[in-house]
Amino acid sequence: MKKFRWQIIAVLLVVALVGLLAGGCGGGSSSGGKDTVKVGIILPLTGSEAMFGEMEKNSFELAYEELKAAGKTTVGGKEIKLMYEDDQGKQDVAKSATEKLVNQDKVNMLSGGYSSACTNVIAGSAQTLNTPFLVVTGSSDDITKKGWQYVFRGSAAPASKYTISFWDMLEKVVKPQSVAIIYENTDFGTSGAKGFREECNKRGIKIAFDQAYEHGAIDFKPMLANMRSTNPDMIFATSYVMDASMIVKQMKELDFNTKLFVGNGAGYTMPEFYENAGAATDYVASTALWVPNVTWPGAADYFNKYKQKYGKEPDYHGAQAYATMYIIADALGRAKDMTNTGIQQALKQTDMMTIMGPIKFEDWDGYTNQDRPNTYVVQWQKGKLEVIWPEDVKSASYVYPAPKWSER
Amino acid sequence: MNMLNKKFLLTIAFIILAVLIPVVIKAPYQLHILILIIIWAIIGTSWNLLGGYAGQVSFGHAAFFGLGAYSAGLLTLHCALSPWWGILLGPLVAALAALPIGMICFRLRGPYFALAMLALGEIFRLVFLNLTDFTNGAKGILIMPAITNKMFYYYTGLGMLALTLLATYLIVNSKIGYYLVSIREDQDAATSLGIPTTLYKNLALLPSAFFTGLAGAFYMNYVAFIDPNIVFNLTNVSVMVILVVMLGGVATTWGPTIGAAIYIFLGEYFRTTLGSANVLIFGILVCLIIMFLPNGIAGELDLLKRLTQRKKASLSGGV
Repeated sequence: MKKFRWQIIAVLLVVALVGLLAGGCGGGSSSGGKDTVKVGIILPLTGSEAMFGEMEKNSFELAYEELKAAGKTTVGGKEIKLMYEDDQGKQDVAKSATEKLVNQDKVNMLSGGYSSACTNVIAGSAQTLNTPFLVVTGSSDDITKKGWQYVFRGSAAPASKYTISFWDMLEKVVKPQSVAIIYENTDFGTSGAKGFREECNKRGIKIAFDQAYEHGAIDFKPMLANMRSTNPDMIFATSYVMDASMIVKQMKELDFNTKLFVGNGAGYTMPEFYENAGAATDYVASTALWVPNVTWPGAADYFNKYKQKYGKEPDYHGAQAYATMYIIADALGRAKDMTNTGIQQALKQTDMMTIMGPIKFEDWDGYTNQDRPNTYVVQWQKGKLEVIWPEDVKSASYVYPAPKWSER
Repeated sequence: MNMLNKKFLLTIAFIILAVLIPVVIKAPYQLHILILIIIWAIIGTSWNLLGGYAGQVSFGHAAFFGLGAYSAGLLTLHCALSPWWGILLGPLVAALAALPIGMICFRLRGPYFALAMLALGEIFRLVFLNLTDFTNGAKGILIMPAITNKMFYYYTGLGMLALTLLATYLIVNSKIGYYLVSIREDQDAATSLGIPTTLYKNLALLPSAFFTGLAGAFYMNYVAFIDPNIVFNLTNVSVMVILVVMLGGVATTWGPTIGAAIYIFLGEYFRTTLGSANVLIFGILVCLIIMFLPNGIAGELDLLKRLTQRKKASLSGGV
């Protein structure tokens, strides 16, 4: 009987091994020969981030179709082929996906990367494997601060730089004496809060309240009540969409008035924010990387096309993916050869206009291959997201200070 | 004697097979999958010593895994030492953290240990998330691995797995092992025979935490990025290890290794072939295995054997 047990184990092991090998061969043969240029794209297509992953995948496809119609998906006689991998929002899986794309599917370059954790891991592996990687969304500062030559970030800003135009507006309009900072306890949240905090200290603005909360919390009232007692001129919040809606709704319920509530992008600019929180969103401002009514060529077109094709409104995540596809096609079109260094150099020399604004990979302020981001300040006004700063691209005038809840 | 010999020979064959795999499979992607399997096999085997043999179910092995990983990560972050030193430090830190928990909880009966471990994992996650000056908080620790050769990681991991399996085997087949099983089966009877139950439960917990910490430190070196939400994760670490062991076979020597191999391999296979439905189908499959093979694959070999034999019998009967 024991003998039998061992036989079974041996058989199982052999089956697993054969499976591994077969999986390897299968993947290899299906990848379509030598006349394609393969771009591996790693996105969260399942799991809690799937909504964004799907939006980015759709946007990649949309851009690819447009490029194809313009004949730009064939470079040097080879067709660009997009290969998607699902990272499930887990970093182990992101690493597996990277290994598979580079070592087995032999992709020429990588793109994608939604959450900061997954993007970190993909970036590290890509650098190790000398494979160019163009980040779509991952915004952790560290990713482009390691001096990694093969890692590029174009359409995404480092989290601590989301606030450039916002500071311009604070200096010229708001001039706050004291601020409150709240943020979700994630890489994105802490990076964003850290950048803002350092800037406040530099400018001598008093930080009256500074607290992290657990991502996905339900009851923000104790935190909001504590914050109210410190009476800040302005609130700066970094949250994803569900938390963002809860926070502003509960502020309304508590009749907590503040001159200006500013969200740090993410949840505060999404259509779902207004759908969930309704009138409580009025006069909430936010930093933003992109809005459909921004003046860059093609932005409004992209928004309308996406809405028509997929029946949903895209937000800046989709725009990042769309712009990234154009950057990839541009770089591959210019690359001397399809080797890792050839593509790396072509990316490095990128200088083009996209719906996210001009893209150029530069080394500055400790960053490597990082585009200088264009940022905006937007404000919800009667359910519409208006650009209020910088003033030369504004779509509506700012409302400051925000009227009290009782006077609306 | 004969049977023991067979078992010994098969173990040797398995070791030779494991050592030779990278000679056959040189592709880094396949090696990567094997390395992940090894990491989970180490955690599973450690969990099995405590949860399988001693019957003390832990819902918080992520605490030890995370401590191991962070020991390696923090050495690099603060002391600029190679994270490989974490391989030495991580297991010790994990075992040290296990000591007070065991001392307190093992005096109690019932679900206290399971609940305390569940809490412990979450406490560590929150502490490491909020001690931002010390741990970098949610930003995590990102390093550039000095060694990138997959073969090296494979053999290092394999050595660790061998060590873990050997330690577990020796413990289980010593007096301690029999005591542990007796505690699992009937604690009152064990006590009446004069077995100091609290002590022996601790003697299972310490090596379990130690080797889980080892896996954590190795993970940090291999994946090169950690943050508290990853390594102290309740579902992706603590619960996953239980699933791995249940799939393979609770309280069997090779069960956790088989479980890890099946879990990781199938998970990856489904992910690359089934598109967006992959998680759903994988989940259903795991449910089915646990429903129909409640003792895991290594634990239900008798059943599998009977099934195949009955099939053979009916076949021959038909002819």
